[in-house]
Amino acid sequence: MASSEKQQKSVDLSHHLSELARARATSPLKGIGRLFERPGMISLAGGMPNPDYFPFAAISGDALVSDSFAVNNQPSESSLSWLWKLFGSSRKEKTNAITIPKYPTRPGDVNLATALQYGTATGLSQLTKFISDFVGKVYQPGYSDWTTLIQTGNTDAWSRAVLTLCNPGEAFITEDWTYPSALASSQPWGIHPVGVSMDSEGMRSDELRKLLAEWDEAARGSKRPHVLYTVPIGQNPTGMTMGAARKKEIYDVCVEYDVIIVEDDPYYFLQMAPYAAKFEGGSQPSSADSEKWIASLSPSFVRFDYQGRVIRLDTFSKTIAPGSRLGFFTCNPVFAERLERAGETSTQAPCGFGQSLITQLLTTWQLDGYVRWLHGLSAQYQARRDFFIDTLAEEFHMRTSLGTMGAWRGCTIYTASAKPRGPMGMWEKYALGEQPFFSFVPPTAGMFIWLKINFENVRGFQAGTEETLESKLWMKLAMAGVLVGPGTYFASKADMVSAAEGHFRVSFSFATDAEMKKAIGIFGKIVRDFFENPDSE
Amino acid sequence: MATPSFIDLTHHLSPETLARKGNPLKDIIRLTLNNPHLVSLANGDPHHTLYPIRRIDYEVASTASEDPVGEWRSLGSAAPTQLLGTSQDEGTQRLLNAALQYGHGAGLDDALRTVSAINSAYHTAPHHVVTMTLGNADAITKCLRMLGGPGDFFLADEFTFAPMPIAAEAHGVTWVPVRIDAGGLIPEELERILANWDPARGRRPHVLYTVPCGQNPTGSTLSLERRKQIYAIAQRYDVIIIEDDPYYFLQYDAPQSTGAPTHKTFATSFLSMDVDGRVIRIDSFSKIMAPGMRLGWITSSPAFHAHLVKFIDLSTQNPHGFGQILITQLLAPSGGAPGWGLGGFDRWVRSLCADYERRRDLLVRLLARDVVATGWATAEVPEAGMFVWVRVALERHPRFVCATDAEAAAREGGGRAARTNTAALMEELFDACVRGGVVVCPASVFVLTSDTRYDDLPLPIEDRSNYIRTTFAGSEETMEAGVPILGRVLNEFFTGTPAV
Repeated sequence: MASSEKQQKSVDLSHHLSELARARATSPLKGIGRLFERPGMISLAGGMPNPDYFPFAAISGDALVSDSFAVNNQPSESSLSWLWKLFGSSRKEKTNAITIPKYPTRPGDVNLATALQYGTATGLSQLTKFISDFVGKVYQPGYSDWTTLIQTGNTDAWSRAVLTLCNPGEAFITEDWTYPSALASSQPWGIHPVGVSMDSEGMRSDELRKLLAEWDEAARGSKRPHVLYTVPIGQNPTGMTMGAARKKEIYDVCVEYDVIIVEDDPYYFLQMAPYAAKFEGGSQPSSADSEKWIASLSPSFVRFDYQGRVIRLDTFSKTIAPGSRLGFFTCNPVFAERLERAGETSTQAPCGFGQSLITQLLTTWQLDGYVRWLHGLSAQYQARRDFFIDTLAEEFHMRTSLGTMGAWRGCTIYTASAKPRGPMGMWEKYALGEQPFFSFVPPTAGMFIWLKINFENVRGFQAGTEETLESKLWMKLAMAGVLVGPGTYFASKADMVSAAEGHFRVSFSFATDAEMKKAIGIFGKIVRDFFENPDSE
Repeated sequence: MATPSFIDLTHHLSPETLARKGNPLKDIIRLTLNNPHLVSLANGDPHHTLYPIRRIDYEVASTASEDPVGEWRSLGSAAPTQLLGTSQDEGTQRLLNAALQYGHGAGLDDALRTVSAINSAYHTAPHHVVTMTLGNADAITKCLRMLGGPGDFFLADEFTFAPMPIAAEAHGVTWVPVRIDAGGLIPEELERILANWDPARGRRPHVLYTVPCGQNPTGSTLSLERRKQIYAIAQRYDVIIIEDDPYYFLQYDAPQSTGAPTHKTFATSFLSMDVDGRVIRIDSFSKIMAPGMRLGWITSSPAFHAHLVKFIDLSTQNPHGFGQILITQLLAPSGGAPGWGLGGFDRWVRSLCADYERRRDLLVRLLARDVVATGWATAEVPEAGMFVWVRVALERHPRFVCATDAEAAAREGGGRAARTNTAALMEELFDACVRGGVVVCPASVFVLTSDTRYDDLPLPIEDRSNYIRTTFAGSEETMEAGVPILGRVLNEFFTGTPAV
């Protein structure tokens, strides 16, 4: 797996650090802290409480066994786990009991007393080791001195990274459509996004090069961007996934123009086979072998990173639970040190309960078990995506076509229009007939379907009212009991709402099958009524 | 309940805060949480059946007895415990699932109710609201960023726990130290700085950061009288008070006092005096439960709360579910749950306080016997916290040098530069301690850098840094082994002869 060539160390990229990051002093107490570790040293210096006072004897839990979810994409899988819940118990689920005692008897075991003590911002050593092994095996960074650093989730990680790299007023590069929290966290500093247009693989490398090559500092009002923020897998919101060749191209452009890549990759393990409709036999299951499955995933940017210019953000939010607030950076040691400084005066180490539980869970599963868990999880999301699209196809008349231009060139596009129902009289009501309501490209990763709404087909449409129509339809859906993500939230700039189009981001991650069915039923009715009569109350 | 009469303090917000827009996706989460009948296809939240964690149980100390901490420590693994479960019924299962989801920036409603109940029991602040935090470092940094940016001046105790000022300095805030004595921050000094503020320096300081109980590092505690004076000054000069109070529950009686620690009242907080909404109080579970929980809370006016939540939504997000489940289960007065309840919490903190008080008394005794007895040092008896501030009588050191008025005036910096060789001698003493096998914290690491062009401090702080911070947070064995070494090293440092 690992390259047999001797890997180089990261190059010096410290000129990318912001003034804020440079201004962060190291606490003078740190030097004293190092003295505590000297053997035989007695400390009257620190203010750490004695762990005997911690009112905890142990923390314990039940964790699913790593092969709880089948990998062969049985459509009934997710509904089954819902059924178990309906009967009020998890009896049918197989779990491992995990316990973390305050003072374990075996050395090397996770120790609650340590986890609950003040620590450095770097986290429990067992967790650090697991993460490091995992990164080495799965992502295979392309340089030798990469390191990992624990953090409290990717929103925090990005907000720390952007202030570590960017000075107020700077621009950074992002996909045209992007995760709004990423924009909002740097916005108070005037650190603003510059969108690059996208195609079926997300950000276009030719457009990126063009943007950088033609950057006009005077016209743009800020210097050429030196940071690129991307969600390359199951892109949020468009659901697009970037392949290896595109990543290599983008990486090379970033080397040429000296740009740091921040790879926000929460959906990496939710990569799935292309969607195929039920009548076509459904989508293909992945390889039954988890080793082969993980090797088949689109590689991370860090695989191509021979200089150390990628800061990769991983989170356990999607693979374990969002309330864990736990994740990690993978990056060069200079950036890691500055990110750690930013962490130690704010969040400090992530919560000790969560760290110890998740460490115990991961070390119980072991690396292979965790990979198996992720494999099963990806099959769950594939089943959820398939169920969602299948149900949409029952609600609407669905037509497929091959994209020939724009962002969806080369993709199979699904276009939904009104379904003929009942006697011919009904047809009159849907006189718009084949006029499409919306279209989408089924995602091959992540949690989202990006619906492009054809507002020009709304009765009485007038150009220029797209945004109003989008929010009007959103509100009608919300009143009827269905929440979707409004497309305008995800625009990297205000003028992106293009002619006659609007968008909704629809997530298939959260609702149960029954809820999805109900929601799609409501969605169908509201959309049909809206296109017929947008002004009805 | 009277209508809140908080005044408008919007002008204290930093440009960063004023420019911050909300995280739009969090509005959707709030909508969803408020209407359980909505089907949400809006957010990328995994369904709870996809979490691998099905149960989390916490085995905690029992607080049934009057001295739970004493019992917990003396009985060791035989001490009685209580199990806080998340699998016994639907309610607790719902709590587990809710805690493991994405949530509201302020925290889980259940957890917020819990800390509000603690506030109501110990403070009088019916119109303030709470926000969960990841402990005090996180809370302080968020408050400092909410209120300050480049060009701002903040006030703080002249000796202060170092990482806090560092965090604000990186964001362009300049600190103005205020002189403290054994009774903590001196109100007259605070007023002097504000009254004499030279507008040419920039905007007058509008934020005061202070640790009112068992101040770190000096161990000093503000009297009620001083608190009232400081609050009045803050009103007069329009200053926001950040009350960082991690040692609130560790307030002690005078040594050998006969008062039963279980019935004493805790000092009145700045929060309880706050009629304007200008106090932001920061509490933590770190000292009373465990620091690694990384959980605490901020109590503020609703207006500041709203800005904090916006900031949290875009950075750390809601605190981790693990700690929020714990405190909910531990303290919520929910019928069947086998938690401590507020009564058990109170027994725990008072018994913890009594235990720390015994440890304080031990350290004070040891210091008197081995350190103060040498004649080269004196120690204040702290009324709260974890630290004893030991004054080294450097002026009696054979190599102590103090410049005369004339010499000092002739130097660069004039009267504001250090006149003595305190810094050098203290460094020597520190190195001697390390060679002797004991680490203490020299005062110099807590010094808040001041701008020597101005008279913020009446005497150069370098000349007053002849202190060391010792702690009774460690074990009795550590204190019993460490203090005699400190005494020996001190004696040798002053007399030049190794002790026998």
